Amino acid sequence: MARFLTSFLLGWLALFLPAAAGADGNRLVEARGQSYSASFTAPTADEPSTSVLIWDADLHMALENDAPVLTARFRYEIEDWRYLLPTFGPGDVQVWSPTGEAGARLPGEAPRIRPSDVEMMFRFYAPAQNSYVGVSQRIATPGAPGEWVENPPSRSGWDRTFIWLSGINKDAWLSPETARSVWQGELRPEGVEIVQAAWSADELTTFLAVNNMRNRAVAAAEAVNRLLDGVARSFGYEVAAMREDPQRYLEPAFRRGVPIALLRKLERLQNLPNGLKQGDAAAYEQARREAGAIMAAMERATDAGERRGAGAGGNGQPAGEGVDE
Amino acid sequence: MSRVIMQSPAGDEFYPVRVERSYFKRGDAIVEGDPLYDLATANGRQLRIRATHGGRAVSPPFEAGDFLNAPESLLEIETGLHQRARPDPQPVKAPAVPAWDDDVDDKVWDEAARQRPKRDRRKVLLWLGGGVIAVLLVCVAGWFALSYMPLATDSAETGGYYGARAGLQPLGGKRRLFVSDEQQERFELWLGS
Repeated sequence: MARFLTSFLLGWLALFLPAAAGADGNRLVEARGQSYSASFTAPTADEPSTSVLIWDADLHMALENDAPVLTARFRYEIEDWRYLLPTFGPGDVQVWSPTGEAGARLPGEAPRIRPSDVEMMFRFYAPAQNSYVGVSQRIATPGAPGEWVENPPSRSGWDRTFIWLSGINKDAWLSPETARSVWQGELRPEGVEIVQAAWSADELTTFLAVNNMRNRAVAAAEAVNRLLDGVARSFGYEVAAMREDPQRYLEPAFRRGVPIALLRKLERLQNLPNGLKQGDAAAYEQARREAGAIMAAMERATDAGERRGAGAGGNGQPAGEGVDE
Repeated sequence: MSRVIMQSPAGDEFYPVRVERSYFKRGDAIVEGDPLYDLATANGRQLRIRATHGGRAVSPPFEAGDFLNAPESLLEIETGLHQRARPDPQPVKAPAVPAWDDDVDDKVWDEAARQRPKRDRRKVLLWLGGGVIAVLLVCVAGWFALSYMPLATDSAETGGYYGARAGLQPLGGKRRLFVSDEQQERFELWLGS
């Protein structure tokens, strides 16, 4: 709470009241240290993921050929997050968090879920109209955390410059004449807020599909067990002590590699020398095929999860903390 | 027509012998195998004397309570005379039953009197052979059943997450029931090395 309060105060301190209102009509509004808390739900998750951004934004307002030209730039840092994503394997949903509770810590190089299509509303008070008006700006691709991203200048005309934020015409565009009048009059910046943002987990999902070996380790353990079933039936070996417990490989949630001993065991069981194959090899050969099918099932599930994750995401809902009022 | 004299048992250890009971009177028709006397010997045995030949008793019996101090004639049987009168005469032949038995119990005696049928050695061998073959068949059938019997570990239900999605089938083929320790060690070395 203290963090959000600090962000809130910093945001107000950093918000420059009419920075520039020269004869050419140029204005610059700067907002710093804003906080935005969003929640979004992955397709197969019951609970929403959350992410808290600390962000800065600038709005440059200029006139060009007597027409408004608006330019916004935006940058953010991910202050806090808690993701609930599908696992592609055993277990429905995996919780990821910076503290790594229950071993659910993402590696440092893992990408975080980033916002996109960030829609900001710069809020002004126009004393001449005794009303609040807003300027809406959309940042399609905010980029990586910490990087300024600037929108190309928008020349949408006077009829698409200001929005009524109060009064009976709230949420309607100001007429060109009124907008021009507002522009030429006094404009007091009141704040800026993120109205909405989209969240896509595809980058993180792809990273997990490629780099997280947890599901591969579980599948390898199951394949080893099936092969042991086969050699026990075909060749009579006592294998109880050699069996693997797939549950053992569920934690940690992120595993950089499959244990080499497990891989070697799998490889050796798949390639028994003839001297160890004394008996009817039918069950063993069947187990070899099924071990391959188990690994293929894991690959299919991971691929499907990756595709499904590419569509994961949703619109963030501002939680109101630190958002300008 | 001839006469046969039945002597009391030979053996000094029997004497004196006391007559416990006699089963005939002089002039009675005697059939081979009939009991004649129950005797109690000096060494504590009880003997039942039986007729070794059929005919008619021509000598009087000893009375119960008489003592015999040495082997002597117990009965004189006239053979042949009565064989003519019999509807189904029996030829004189060597005694088929022992003249005396040392168990006076009637039941025991009656069982012993019936000649125990001699076991046919060929039948015994056949039974033994059949039994061995039956046991072998049971063992072979058991071995066969165990070899092809599906066990829990052969099931398609492995309990694994991916196994349930891989379309596993119950393991088939013949099961090897035993493996040598040496072979087991070689297998473990292969996996562990």
